Amino acid sequence: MSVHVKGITKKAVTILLGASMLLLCACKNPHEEAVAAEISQNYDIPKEKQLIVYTSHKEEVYLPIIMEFENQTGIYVEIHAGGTTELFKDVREASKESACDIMFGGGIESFEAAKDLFIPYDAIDKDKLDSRYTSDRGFYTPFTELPIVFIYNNKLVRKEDAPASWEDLLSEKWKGQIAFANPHSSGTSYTILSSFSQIVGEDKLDDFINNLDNQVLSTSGEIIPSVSNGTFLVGITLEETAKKNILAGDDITMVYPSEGTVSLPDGVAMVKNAPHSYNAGKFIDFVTGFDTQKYAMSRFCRRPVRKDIMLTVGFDKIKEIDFDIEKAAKSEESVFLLWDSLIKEEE
Amino acid sequence: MKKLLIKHSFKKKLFFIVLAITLSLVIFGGILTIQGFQARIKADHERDDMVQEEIINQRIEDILISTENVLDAISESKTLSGAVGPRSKSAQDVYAALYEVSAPIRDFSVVDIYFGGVSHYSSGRGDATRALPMGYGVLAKADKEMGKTVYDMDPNDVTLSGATLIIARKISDYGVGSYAVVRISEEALKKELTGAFNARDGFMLTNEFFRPICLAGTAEDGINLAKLRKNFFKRDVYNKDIKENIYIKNMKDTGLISIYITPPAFEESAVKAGYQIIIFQAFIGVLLCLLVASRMSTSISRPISILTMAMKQFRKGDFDTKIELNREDEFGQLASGFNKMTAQLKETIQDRVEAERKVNESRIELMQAQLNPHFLYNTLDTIKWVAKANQVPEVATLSSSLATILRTAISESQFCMLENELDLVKNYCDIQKIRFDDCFDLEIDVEKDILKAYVPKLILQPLVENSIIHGLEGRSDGKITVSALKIIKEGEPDALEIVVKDNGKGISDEMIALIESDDPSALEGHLGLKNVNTIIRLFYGKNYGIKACRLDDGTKITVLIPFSLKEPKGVMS
Repeated sequence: MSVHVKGITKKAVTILLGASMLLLCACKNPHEEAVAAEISQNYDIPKEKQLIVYTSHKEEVYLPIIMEFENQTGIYVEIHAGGTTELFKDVREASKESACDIMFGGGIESFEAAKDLFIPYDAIDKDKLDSRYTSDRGFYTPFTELPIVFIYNNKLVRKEDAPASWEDLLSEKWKGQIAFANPHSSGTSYTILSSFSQIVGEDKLDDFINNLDNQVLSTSGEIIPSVSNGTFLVGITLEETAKKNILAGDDITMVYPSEGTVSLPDGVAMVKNAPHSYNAGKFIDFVTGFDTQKYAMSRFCRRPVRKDIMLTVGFDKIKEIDFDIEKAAKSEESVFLLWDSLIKEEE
Repeated sequence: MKKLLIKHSFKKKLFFIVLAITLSLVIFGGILTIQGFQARIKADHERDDMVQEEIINQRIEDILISTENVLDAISESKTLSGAVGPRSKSAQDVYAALYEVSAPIRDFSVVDIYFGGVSHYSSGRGDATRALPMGYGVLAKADKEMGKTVYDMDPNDVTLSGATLIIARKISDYGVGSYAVVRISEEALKKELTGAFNARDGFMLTNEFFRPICLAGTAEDGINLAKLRKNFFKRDVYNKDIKENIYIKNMKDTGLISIYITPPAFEESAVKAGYQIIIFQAFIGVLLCLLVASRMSTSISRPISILTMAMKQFRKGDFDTKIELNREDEFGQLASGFNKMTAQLKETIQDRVEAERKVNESRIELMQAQLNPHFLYNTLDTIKWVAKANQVPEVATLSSSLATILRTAISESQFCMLENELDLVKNYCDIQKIRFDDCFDLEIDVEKDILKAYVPKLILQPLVENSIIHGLEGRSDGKITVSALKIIKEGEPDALEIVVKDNGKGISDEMIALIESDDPSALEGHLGLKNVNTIIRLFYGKNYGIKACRLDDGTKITVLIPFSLKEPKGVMS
């Protein structure tokens, strides 16, 4: 009797299960799926039309360039934007999973430091680029040159009094009046410190830091506003930033140091394990191409790395100092040690 | 215990059957209902969505067409297409013409005449930096073909969440080229589309790379656009991870894509609630099934247990057992059938007891007749020897015959062979001859092979006695014939027919009627005949017995019994 009951139970369970399976299958509307598949098919982006770009540029810079790249090549670009330091970390992770093609933006010293992350690629117009900053083995390609310049507040500083050279920054009258960002957070600030020691001399670096008088800004973005509003009298920043703000109406003046200045470019490079390396090459060709370089100059006040572009008015010929990137990288530890010993962090 | 167990399993069986039916109805019915409902609402919803999408796309199309018309008008206007060039008109004339042609679209757009990358005439108010790069972006596109309308986004005003739409056309080859440029800002477009879509919906206008020009309504956060783009990029199904309904449409050959987004027809919570109700119903169903199963099994097992009890009682000898169920279903029928059966059985058993009692009565009478057989026996033997010694041969014969009869009569066995019975008849006749002075003859006419057949003992003697006493009364030449025949009939067991015939005065009609009346008590006073008939019927049933008929001279009495060469079992043994 109980065996019989078990049999019935089994049958009932089987029927229930079977029927519910059928129903579950019926849940997915095949018509709906077909429609979805068709739409997906229509807008499908094939692999050869894809590119993944990690960029540390600002949206206003990378977006018009990347969109023009899309328009011209028909390649869809997936964009990951962020700060230089963290983005290099992300690229390292993405490279392992073959999920990144291009690192776009960030000083070439950062690219130099992370050479193992990239595969060499020579831009189609490599011979037309400023040879000083092209990587010998093509691990990275410079995008635009960004000279270090001084700025001063027109209302508070007379033209004659304005600092004209790196040496001038050591003057007592600028003590505590120089807008300068913490090198711990700003790569540019570190480059400025290295530039100073390479131009003026390592032994004068402590004088310069002392002359800041513990007045340190937390980010480089605060330099221009704090000079504009008179918090500081002078500041050290990049040509592109200064020009842009002057165009926007800030009452400041830009000065190219008389000893010459360091003009480190930002770079672009193809990442190891790039899943769309062919398109990545196209992208490097595109950003170093004539039109993009010209556009970057006219729109973003960035000095082109191409030699065949006539500089527009406002881009003075500058005396460039050969900057020893390797030396700068080596002395990083000692510079920071010095910085930390002289600057008392405000709590 | 066993009863309980059976009842239990019966309940289980019932429970599972009822459960299976109920659950399948509740669950499948419920799911079907929900899904049917869902499908229906979805379809309705989709239809509404399509209508709404049509409206907004129509609005966009209107904007594009009117813009196209303005560009056509600018191209055709010599004043405007030649605004910068050798035959250019005065600025006032150009502006007048520009305002005139741009009137239909000026609410939502700014129309410029560019010479190279620089705007020379503008219908807009201020003059913010509206320089466009040459050889890059929209002007590069427009440069490719004179007079062709191109669509792009203003590189000066582009973000990840929207951009100013530029619709441009090259209108003159003179110098670096003149271009008519129409700008529609994100805000203006949104304003134009206000009211064209439901508050719960979203709308996106993008370029062919899904870069947004305008994100409006629920699409404003750009999350769904990012998901959509990611799905296309990953080559997944386009609406993976997107709950909302997405309708994508290419805006003709403009390279623009309009995407309409509506919330899902069914909130997930509603569907979930539906399924929860089903689960609840299933739960109630289980409880109900338990109740029904226990009720039904009780209603079936209770009468069965009553029946079982009644049968037990009946087995123990209570023939008056009756069941009262008060039900009119099959169990009621069963109970009344049982009652009828017990009643009938009781009757049958009573009949049998009665029959037994009667046989016993006969036996008691017989036994009462059996005084002290040995004493009688020895006495008869003594008489025989005394008679022989005293030379009285009749007395010797008498006592000798009587002894023989006596031996047969008192023997334990109820049957004897026909030859023994015939011997007894002979001895009896010897005695009667002496008594009645030799006034009759006995003739025995029986085939040899029948002699060995078994018959109930003492069935012939009473018949012969009847003939001698009643038939041959007062005659001196009486004759009694005893004959026997084996009767073979197809389909019936063999029978033995013994006939006792006399040539006496003949049996009376009255007697014949009494013999054939089947009522043994009617033969009162003819103890012999009555006994014979009773014995035969008790032994063999009502198909056998004696029959009498009157001949021309005398009486014929026929005894019919089954033919058997083996001693049958007696009723008493």
